[in-house]
Amino acid sequence: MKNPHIAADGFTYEAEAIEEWLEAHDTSPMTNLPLRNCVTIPNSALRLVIQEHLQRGP
Amino acid sequence: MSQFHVTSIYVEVMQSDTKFVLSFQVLILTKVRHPHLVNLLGACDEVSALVYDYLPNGSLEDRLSCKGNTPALTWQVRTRIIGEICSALIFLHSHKPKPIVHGDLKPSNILLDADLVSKLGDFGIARFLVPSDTSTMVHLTDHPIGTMFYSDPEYMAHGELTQGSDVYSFGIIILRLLTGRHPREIVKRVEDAMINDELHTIIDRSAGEWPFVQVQQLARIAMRCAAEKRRRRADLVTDVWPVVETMMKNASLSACPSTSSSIQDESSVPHYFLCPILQVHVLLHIESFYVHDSYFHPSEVVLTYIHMDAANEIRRS
Repeated sequence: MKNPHIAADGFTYEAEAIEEWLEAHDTSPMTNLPLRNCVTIPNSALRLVIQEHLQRGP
Repeated sequence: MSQFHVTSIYVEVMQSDTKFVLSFQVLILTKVRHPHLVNLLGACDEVSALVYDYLPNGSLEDRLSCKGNTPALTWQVRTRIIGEICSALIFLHSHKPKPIVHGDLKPSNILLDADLVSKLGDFGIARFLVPSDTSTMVHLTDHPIGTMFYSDPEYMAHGELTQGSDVYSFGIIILRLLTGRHPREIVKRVEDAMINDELHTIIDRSAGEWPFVQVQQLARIAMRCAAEKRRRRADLVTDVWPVVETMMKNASLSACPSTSSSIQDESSVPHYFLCPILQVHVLLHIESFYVHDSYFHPSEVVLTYIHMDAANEIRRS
């Protein structure tokens, strides 16, 4: 993921992908349960870890 | 610095006459999720194929026989696998509203991921249990299916599949992990060795310096699991789990990380680094792609490496 965002279901998604999903749904893509809200928050901790991983790895 | 992620899937293509088995596997595997059960990603009805996460270290059977000259599994890894399978069985057996019995537990149905973490697979003959006259939960059949040496003798004789059937197979698997020997008459061999105080002579030396106290404990547990009579078998929750849980903790403390990852797939990326939505899209794309190009080889394993970003580009266009 380049820009991980956490949704109200607690799962983290690619920002672009979850926004596209939320345009057509109000449920969680993982659990199919209704989401409390459609706000997504940048998951900066995971973003940092992914960037570190990419820098380390091939 | 590379910008793409690579993920791998495993496609199991079944014979055309196994539609029922396929739908049943899907039914069970979509209902249950557990860290030590294979993760079903999708299914394709047209070609009777199931799509799982790709598990690069193959089956426990292959690793025990060191197929492809892979290093022997260490005692620490073996202990952990015993605990993992125990937890998966307890999970299945306590499924609500109906317990699930695997029914064909054996090393070739236990798959290992890049870190040699085990995943129980092949739910081809798994069943939900229903209450019988005697208030115990069973699945009754006139034609017991199973695998020689691992199948519960009472199930083979009477066609009654219960949680105890999995416990028997689990006992045989523990004995195989301990001794590295063929499962034929393994119970008798270990029993004789225990009576004659010669247990140390039949332990698989390629597993390393297995602490003898643990070997004795595991052998005793395994013998109780593999008791001929179902009602005498050990209870996984009360008898087995407390012991193996302690052992797992001790084994992981002394496990050397380099040995457990010696045959690791270098391209593996932690799954939580990947967006679940994009993974599903990629999978659907690949599935239809191969189906239309009839790329599937019947009853052959097809391994597919997907270039995530490339596949996403195709999806968007």
